[in-house]
Amino acid sequence: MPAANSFRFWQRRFWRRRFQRWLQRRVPAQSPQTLDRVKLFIFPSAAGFSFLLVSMLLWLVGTNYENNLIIGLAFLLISLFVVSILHTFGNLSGLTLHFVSSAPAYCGEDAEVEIRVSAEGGRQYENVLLCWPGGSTAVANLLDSRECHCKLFVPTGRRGWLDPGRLLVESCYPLGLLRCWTWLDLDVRVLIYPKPVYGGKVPPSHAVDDEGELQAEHGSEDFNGLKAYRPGESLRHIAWKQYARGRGLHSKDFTAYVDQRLWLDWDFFAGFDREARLSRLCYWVQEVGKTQSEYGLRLPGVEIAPGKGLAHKQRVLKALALFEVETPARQQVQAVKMQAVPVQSVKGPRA
Amino acid sequence: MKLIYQIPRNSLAWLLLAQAAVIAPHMPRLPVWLIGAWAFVVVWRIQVFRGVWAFPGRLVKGLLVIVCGASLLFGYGRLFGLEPMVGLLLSAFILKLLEMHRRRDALVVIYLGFFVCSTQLLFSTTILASAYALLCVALLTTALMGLNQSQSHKSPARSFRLAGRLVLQCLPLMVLLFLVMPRLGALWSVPLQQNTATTGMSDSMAPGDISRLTRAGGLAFRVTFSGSMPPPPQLYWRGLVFSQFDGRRWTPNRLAGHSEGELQPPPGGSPSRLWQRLLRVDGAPVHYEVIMEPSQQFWLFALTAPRQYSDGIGMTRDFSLRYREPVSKRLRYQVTSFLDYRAEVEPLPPWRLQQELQLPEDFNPQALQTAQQWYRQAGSAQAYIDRLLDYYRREFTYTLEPPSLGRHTVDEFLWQTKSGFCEHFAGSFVFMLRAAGLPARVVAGYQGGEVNPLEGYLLVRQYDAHAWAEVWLQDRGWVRVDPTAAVAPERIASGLRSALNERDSQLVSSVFAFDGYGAGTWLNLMLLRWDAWNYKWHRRVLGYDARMQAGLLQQLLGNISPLRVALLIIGGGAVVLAAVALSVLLSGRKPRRTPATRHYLRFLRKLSQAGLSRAPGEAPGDFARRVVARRPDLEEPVLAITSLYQRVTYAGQPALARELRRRVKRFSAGRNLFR
Repeated sequence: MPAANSFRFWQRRFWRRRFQRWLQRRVPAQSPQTLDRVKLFIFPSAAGFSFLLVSMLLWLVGTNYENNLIIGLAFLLISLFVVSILHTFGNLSGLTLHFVSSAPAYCGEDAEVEIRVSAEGGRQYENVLLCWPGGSTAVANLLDSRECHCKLFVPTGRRGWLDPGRLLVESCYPLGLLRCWTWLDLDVRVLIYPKPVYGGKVPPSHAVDDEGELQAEHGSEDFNGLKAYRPGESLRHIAWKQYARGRGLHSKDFTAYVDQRLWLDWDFFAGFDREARLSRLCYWVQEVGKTQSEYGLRLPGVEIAPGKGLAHKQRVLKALALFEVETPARQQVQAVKMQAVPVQSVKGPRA
Repeated sequence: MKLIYQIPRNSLAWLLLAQAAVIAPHMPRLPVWLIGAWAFVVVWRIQVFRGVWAFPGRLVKGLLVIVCGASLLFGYGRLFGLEPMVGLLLSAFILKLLEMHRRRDALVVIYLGFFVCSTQLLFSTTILASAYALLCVALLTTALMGLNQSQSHKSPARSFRLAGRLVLQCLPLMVLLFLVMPRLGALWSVPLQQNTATTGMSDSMAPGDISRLTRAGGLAFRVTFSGSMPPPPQLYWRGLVFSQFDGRRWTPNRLAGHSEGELQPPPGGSPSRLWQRLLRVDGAPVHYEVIMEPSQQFWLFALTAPRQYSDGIGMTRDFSLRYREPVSKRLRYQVTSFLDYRAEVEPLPPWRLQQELQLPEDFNPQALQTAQQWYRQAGSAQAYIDRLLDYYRREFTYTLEPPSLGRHTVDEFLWQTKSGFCEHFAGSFVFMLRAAGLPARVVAGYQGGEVNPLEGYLLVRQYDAHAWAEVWLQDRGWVRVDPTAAVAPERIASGLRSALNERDSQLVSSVFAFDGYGAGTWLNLMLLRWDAWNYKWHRRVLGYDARMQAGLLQQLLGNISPLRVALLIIGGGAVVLAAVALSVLLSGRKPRRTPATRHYLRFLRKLSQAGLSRAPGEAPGDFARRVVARRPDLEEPVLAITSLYQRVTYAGQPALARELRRRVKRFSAGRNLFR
């Protein structure tokens, strides 16, 4: 059977691609998008088909008992079905969806995407479902308000720019007999940082040349002065000379000229593959980000000068996220555009 | 813990309500235990929803199934037939409530609800029942809508409003489909109600039966004459012929298998040519249509002598009409009668004589003896009949509550009690004729009726029930003689009420009041109007069949071809749906104006009539200053109105809206001054 299976697989893939291409032409990527006749699809749901079956049975009962009222009831149900086509369509038609923002996420976490659903005019919209395949579902209700913000979570698989694909917008309201839906490409991009992986303790300071030994202990460098000895301090640091001179017990204070600027370097994790290195660096960025120290990043071909603060951290993480990402052509264009956008909260290109 | 699906609160509430509404009309027919099971299930379901109880286990469910099954079996005594089937459907509808684990289960309950809703129309087809069914559909639709609203939906009334609107929007399309979709006849035969209490005339007559029927009230049938209506004394609606007397009870002639054939038409009701030949008719025919209420009996009512009638009807040998099956729902039939007729003129063959002269032995000796004596004295049949009628006229009273009679009913009635209702007169009269050797029989039916002035049809009610006699005379055949007419001529001329004394009238007053007998009162007029609607409903809606449809399509399309019908459905449907689409898609497009804005706009209109229009985007305050600059005379009202409007709209003082309205209403820019 494998041959048949693979045939089916290719066949399915073929049709899926054709459908995607067709959809691409019919509902091109854009944000905001207003739903209309061209974009919306509508088809009876399973409940709708069984409803029609119920109507047919009623018609049969009415015909057989020669009871005009039951025939009328059957026709009423059929009309209900027909009229609810309009209502279900009307429950999506005219809605405008707008990709507001997405918060960057670490790979493996769910990324949050915010979408604004709004409507012109006074029509009411109820129980409109938004979801990405595999992601969470959000419900939009526009009853008295004219817009609502929906937060959606999408699963992430790889670092880089995540394109969650087309957003499914669907509604079965009011009777659930029909399902009206569309697949929207709102040009959503979510920045996905590498998945943080514990990479040992963060080097406390700069010591690039020294073989990884922790030399930047207290007072290991230049002599700074003397200070009163406090019990517990290392005996090695007692200024014995001064003690001998009878000036009392002092300890030598060495201010290490510690380079507070930490360089997170690609070469720390020599021997690991690219993703593993990035993941460990990412972990370090997270860790260092909690302290007040400045840190920089060195990747092959990328160097970010040391700095601190949230913006800096996001810049570094973004560099990690986008390092040597193989992106499809369209996405690369997006990614280049994105460079210009403040990193605070990654906004969609047309936001 | 397993996560259980909870149907939305909104939907559950509406579902329970819809269920109650759908079951309510079946209540009188349902076994008590089924109703008990229902109450139990509803309580349990609500407790499940509240999270107090879990879904019932297998034991409880099994027990419920047994209770429902047993109550159906013992309540109806059989499992086949319409009512047990409806009961079965109802039990499924009820029990499924406790199996609502998923959304799909809730759907099943709602769809079952539509079925149950349709079955109520098998039992009642009145306007009210139909309107009620529409309400049920709206409730079920609300429940269905609730399933598709978000869990947090908190406004049940809104759901009902929306669903109601939806159902109303469906009506035009439904009417179109109803009118145009092709009709098929019954595909296979189905059992209708059985074991239902019969109403109206029963198949035998004992003293007191008809007077009891009179008090029962209700409608028997309605008649539309296509020409002019015969005068009331001619309106003898002949139903049953009683030739068999057992001393107390008159029954139809059941002797069959004679050489000349059956007395009743074969099943299927094909007209019997032989018996038609016994009828000789003359004069002008009377064409009419009868819409009969269900009676659960075979016989139909017609004026003598019926000559032509609808399919499915047959004529018995004694010229009464029978339907092919008991009339279990309203029946419409057309008859052509000739009021001038001669029936069975040829001398009766011996076996017929034997039937029409039959008398029980050892009953009414005095009557037997007197009859022979009077017949001898009278000398001829006609003289004897006149003598009898004269006797009734002189000594008898017509009353709804005659004294009860013992074994010799005729003797006691004729010489002791001397008061009775039509069945006493007809029964004793026929007895006296037969005792004298004259073939005679009792006929039961209705006499008279009330004309509905709004639609011009005749209403015949149960209290118009009547019994009279037919006597066979040489060369004349069967002749109708009504002894009641001798005692109470008003009864025949103008109805029962005028013939009753005060005490009797009170006896039937409730019936009269309900049936709107008191002519001229507003209540009577309303009842007549209501009946007229019912009548139209029956003729136009319930009676809409392939024939009427063909007529309508002929009228609309010229000639009927499948293509034209399809075009009519598509075209009509498109128009109807376009209207709905407009109302759906354009709803709420207009910005809602507050009352204050409306009043202010009215004020602006008044000003613009005087040549002062607000520029687009001009603030009310600026505009007011501009107006005052041009028309100083309007300063006070313009400033006051503008200020009021601003205060209502922007300062949140809605209480001033009424004041604003008053000022605007009084305001006049006095454009006449300018012209």
